[in-house]
Amino acid sequence: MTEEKKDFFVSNISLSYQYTAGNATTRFLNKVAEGKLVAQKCPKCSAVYVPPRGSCPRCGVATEEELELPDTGAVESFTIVHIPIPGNPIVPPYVSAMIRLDGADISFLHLIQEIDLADIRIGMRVQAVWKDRSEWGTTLENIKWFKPTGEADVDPSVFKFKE
Amino acid sequence: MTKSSDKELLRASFKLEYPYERSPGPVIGKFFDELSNEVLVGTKNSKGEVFVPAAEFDPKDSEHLSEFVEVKNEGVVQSYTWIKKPRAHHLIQESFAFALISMEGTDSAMLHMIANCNENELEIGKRVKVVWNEEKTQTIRDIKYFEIIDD
Amino acid sequence: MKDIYILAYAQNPIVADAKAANEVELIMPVVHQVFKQTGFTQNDIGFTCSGSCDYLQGAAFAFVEGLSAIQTNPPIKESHVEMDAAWALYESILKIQMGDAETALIYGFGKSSPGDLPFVSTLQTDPYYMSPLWPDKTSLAALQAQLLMNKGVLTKKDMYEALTQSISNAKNNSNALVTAMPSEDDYLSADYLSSPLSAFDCAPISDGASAMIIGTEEAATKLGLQKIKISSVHHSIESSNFGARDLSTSESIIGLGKKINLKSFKPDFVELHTQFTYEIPFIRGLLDLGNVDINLSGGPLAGNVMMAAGLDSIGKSFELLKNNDFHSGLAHASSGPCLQQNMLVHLEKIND
Ligand SMILES: [Zn+2]
Repeated sequence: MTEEKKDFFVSNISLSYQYTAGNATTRFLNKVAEGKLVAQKCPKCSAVYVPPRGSCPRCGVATEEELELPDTGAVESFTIVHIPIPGNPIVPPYVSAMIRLDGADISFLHLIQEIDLADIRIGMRVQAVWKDRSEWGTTLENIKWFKPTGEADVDPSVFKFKE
Repeated sequence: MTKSSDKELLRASFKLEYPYERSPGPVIGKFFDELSNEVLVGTKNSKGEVFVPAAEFDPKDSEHLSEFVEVKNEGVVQSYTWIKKPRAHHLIQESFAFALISMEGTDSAMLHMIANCNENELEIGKRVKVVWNEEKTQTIRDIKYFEIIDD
Repeated sequence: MKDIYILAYAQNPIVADAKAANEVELIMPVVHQVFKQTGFTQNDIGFTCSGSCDYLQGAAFAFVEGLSAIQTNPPIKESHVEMDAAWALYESILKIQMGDAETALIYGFGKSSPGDLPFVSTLQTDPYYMSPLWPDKTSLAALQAQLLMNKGVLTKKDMYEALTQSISNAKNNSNALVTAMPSEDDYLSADYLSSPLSAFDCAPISDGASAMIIGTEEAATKLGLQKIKISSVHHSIESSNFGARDLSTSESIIGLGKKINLKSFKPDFVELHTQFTYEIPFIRGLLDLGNVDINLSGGPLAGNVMMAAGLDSIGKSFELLKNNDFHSGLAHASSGPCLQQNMLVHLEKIND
């Protein structure tokens, strides 16, 4: 009956939730389901947020005005991931990048593929590669990844946040 | 994310889990170790008061407790609540009670469950005894539940 | 010690399900309202402190996201408590007492609808001896209620009266969630969730947010509004080992009553942060409150936004003093199973 004394036990915390996306994010994701990237603009400082969270955190006001942005942008920063992440189907090494869409004041995280890893650099122009329309849902995964456009790099100083 | 019946409202179910490895330390570790041998131990303060489950500190004056004493696996119900229809996470899925139980000769109460009885048999002051879980995990669940001692 | 005044308070209408609204969308309206009441902007605020619990909606670091509801440029002095916002108020009072700020913005928000609140609350209990058994919030309260009934401290009838009084009072509170009143028969014959508590005895699952602005006497004078002073505030906590507590009384609450010197003043009303019916007659007895009106706002039984409801009892007291011929009010906030932690706040109307 006596077992070896254990140094630890595993806690059994497990809770179920029904997560909601937020009103602003819901509007954004419903547009993503139509293949559109719709940003929101601050009524005070005109900063453009994509994906939007419903507010301009530097002004503390709601961002009601919406504007559609193109699916092109530039690499604001990146990292090459060499470590496999449990549950992630992508085989390393691969590029995770902060992508600043043209016309946006913030960047978001996505993948860059169709690229030689040695070529990735800040300022590189990229464009979204979408899944087949039949697979679109209310998720940014509608964009499989971004790929280089081959256009001339942008000057990284444009990444400064709007004054 | 899936669309629910609310127009355009997005909801996604998900499960949040924390399978942390917790180290119980010398006092709680000893209590769990003894539980897996089907023995109940408590800790004793300098006034001779006994805490079961074993407390690391006296909750009144923070005295560090390290003296262990073995206690009988029988106790008295200090309070209880009858759960007719168990809910999601409850470990017993037939009617049962949560109870505060003072083990014989102790000065504190232990939170645990009472099963194998009807609601009308249960009252404050009732004597109960430990029913052990066959499979031991060196956790508080090595006590499966308590049951009423027939007079 | 500096005198500290409540300058403004606002509460969202309490709802059972805020649907899509996220933390930012819950917080922003109440923050804008307290700014409107004072004419302040974030630049007039010396310290900002919030209370919330990420486990409620299951979104890790939601409290950081919540900051997007307020203006954080230029950068602000800010803090957060994983507790009811009443304790964010307490931290803000200390910050002002220390001379670090003249004013403070406090907000609390809670969105309990996405999860299973009674079991989310299980995470508050001891992770070695208690939470592995999954005691839910209702069952832990029921253990105390059962003991109090057994000792003759209170009866189901007392609990029914507390409920009907709360719901009847809530009719004057446009933000309240519950207004339906069960008959005594319906109440007494309701199935127990955890005996002796039925669903009627539990505060409803609620979503919402509240905000408050406090400041020094100079700040209050400058505003020129009716002055409501925080005359005294104390809090205390008991052991998390509640098997070693005497649950038929509350050392914490009795001790706070002495500390706040309840013998020296008679409040015109009391707002209690009571999430279960039994807690109202229980605390009335512990503090020897006689027949003073309790929870004129309806209290948590008529809408219970987790992590804001304690601040609400203080905010509602502020509103009651401001809008009525009252001079003195007592507010209470609590946290943890079986009223483990408590705060008492004495508020007074000051006429210059
Ligand atoms: Zn802005």
